[in-house]
Amino acid sequence: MSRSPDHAPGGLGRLWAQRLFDWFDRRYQIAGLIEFLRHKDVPITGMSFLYYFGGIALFLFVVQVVTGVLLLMYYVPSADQAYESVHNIMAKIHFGWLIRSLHAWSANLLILSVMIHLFSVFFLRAYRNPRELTWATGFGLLGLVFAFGFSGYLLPWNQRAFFATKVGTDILGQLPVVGTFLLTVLRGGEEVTGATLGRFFGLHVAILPGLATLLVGGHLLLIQRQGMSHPAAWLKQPPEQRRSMPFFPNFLARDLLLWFLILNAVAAVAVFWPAELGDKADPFGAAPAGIKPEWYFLSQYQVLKWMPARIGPISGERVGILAMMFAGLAVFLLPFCDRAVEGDPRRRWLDFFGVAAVTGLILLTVVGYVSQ
Amino acid sequence: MSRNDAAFRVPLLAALLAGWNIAAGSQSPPPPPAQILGPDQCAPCHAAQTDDRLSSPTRWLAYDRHALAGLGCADCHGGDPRTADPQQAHGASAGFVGRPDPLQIPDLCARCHSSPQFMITYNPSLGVDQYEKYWTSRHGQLLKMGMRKVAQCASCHTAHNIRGASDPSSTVYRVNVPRTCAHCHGDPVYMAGYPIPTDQYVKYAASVHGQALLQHEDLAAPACNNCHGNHGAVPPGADSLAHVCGLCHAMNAQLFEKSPHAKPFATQGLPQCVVCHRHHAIAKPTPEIFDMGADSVCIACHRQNDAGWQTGKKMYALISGLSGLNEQAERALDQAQTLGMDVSDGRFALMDFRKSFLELRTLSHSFDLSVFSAKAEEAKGQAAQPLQTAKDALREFHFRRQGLLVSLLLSLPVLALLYWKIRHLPPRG
Repeated sequence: MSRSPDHAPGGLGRLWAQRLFDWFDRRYQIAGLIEFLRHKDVPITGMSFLYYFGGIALFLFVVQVVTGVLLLMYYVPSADQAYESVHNIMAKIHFGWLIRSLHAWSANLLILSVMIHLFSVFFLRAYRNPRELTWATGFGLLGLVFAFGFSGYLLPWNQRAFFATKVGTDILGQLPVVGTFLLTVLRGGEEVTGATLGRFFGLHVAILPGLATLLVGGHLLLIQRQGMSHPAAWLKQPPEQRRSMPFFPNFLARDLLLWFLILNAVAAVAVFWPAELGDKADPFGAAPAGIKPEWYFLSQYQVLKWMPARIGPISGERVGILAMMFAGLAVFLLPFCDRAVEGDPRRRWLDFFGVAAVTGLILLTVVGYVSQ
Repeated sequence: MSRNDAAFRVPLLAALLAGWNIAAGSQSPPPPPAQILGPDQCAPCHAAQTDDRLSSPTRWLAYDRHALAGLGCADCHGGDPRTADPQQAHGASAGFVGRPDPLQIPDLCARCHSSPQFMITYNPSLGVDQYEKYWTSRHGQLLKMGMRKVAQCASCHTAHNIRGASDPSSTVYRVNVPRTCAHCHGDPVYMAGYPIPTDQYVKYAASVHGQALLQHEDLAAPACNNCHGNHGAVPPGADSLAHVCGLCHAMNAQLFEKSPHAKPFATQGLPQCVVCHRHHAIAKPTPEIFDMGADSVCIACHRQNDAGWQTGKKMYALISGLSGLNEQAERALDQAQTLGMDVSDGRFALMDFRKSFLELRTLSHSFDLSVFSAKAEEAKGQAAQPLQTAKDALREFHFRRQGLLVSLLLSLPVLALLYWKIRHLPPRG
């Protein structure tokens, strides 16, 4: 049985820890697992801070699961009681306001972290051969966090959520061929009703978490198996000048420090700006003035707003949706198409495309936020 | 509606009301017109006229109730609508009357509107007594005397743009009625010959009723016709005012009738509600109405320290105290809500308190101090809950911040420990 130098006896505490380790190791051979976790190195470069966003996203996913499970204890997924149950959580349940606010704020941070993580992987070219599947699972996770955001937004069953869902599902209904089918399936009928709430609840607490767990597991396993991608600039350096740190425990300790800081920051935000509830959904009421989607859908919303009524025989909105879908598909297929080597002029085009995409997303989001 | 509206500017193509056998003030209007068959040539011809007086009536054909019901121009103006020849269409032999004289208009309208048999074919729910009521009104009485400068049907309803009272663009839609009346009654020049004031609209618009109707479009608020009547418009007399106000303020009127004030007011011919609340300029009553100060109406009759004076002072103390509590609770709840706290329970409790407070204000019309005091005590008890909710919310607000501070302080050693560990981990690479 292998004994790690880190588990060498030293004091009563260490002795007991060693015995505990040995007890488990004899039964489950965890020394091999630790070795599997340890073999990963993190290259140290000027852009190393970008490596933390994957870990932050993972941590926030765990926060979502924990706070979501706690909210489930009091939330009632019916059109009659959903709003009242969320109000009860916010006003009556001890620390209910904190749990819901942590859930809402960390969800926003999670989406932001996943987006930053995706763009950092893109710019560092970490998606390329042999990490195509890591990229694919990561891209799937981005789609899932959007779906989490969209489905979770309706659950408080307030006026804003009701109309946002109506508009959002209307957009899905614009998809050619499958649009009407998708809209009916998602809404549970032609209109947004209690049936829609039931479906979104099922999606949000069962189907999406199941898929997300599978994808997160696969994503982590692939990273652990293949190790971290080494940037080209780092590889160019002579071997003696390449700096790196072990993922375990050096990088993980930094991760922990950051997670702890983020948890405190989110808690502070939750205290000062608790999640709002608004008015209960009224299908016969007017849509709230100036209603807009959440920030992570603002860029798409702005694109659709700018589309002309018709482009040829097709409605402008449908063209916009199809264009965004094709853009998404292109990003998904990127690792399978990008064969450019270091110094290839095509790489500059890709860099230009990435910078334009980030700038465009930020600008569209800002314009969508400030526009009437 | 404008007095210079198209209704009054329809050309006098026939100078006199030849062949129009209507007598102003007649109680038996002629029968309704027979339907004229065949295409109507009036509208196409008049629409093409360059003189606005001739063409403007055709603009409203798509909206006018009568036009939409199938009535043609000739049903009111006479003439032969089947021909496009002006001479023939406007000929006296065709019964053309042109612009009806104001004296003739009530009879003209009543031909249809006073006929139950005719009206039932168009609008069974519409009354047919407007004509009779009109002649009982001040307007009708003056018209009967031959005065043309008084309101008749077209003055309020217009001549060619007649719309239902429930249509927001109608001159007789409730929100528009005050402006319709004020068109004449608010014009000092036009009303110069009549010994009545012309500031009613200005006063009404500033009153609680005017603000509710004109600013908030609260259709439960009264317009001019709710107190004065519409077709039978007359000023309510002093002895009937309580009945008029009591139509909406029923409890107030009942309590007042049983109050110690009812008899002396009736004896002295005082116009009940108006004495304290005025009529067109009805302001929102404040507790100061009872404070026996310079603005209090009570001191007009009551002398210092008489029984009424003392009752008023006590009522003032109770009602102003509760008014203060209402404001205090509202402020406290607003403060907590602004800080992001949920105070919906407090809002509901405040609504209960306000209901009692409103009942208390109503009870003030009884001038019965014992009943008033008991209700004031009940309301005072109800004010405690919203105040407590606000207080609890503020306490919770501070608890959250203190909790955050404590958790941050507890986090510091953990963060420091982690940082120390990171610094002391053996580097590799």
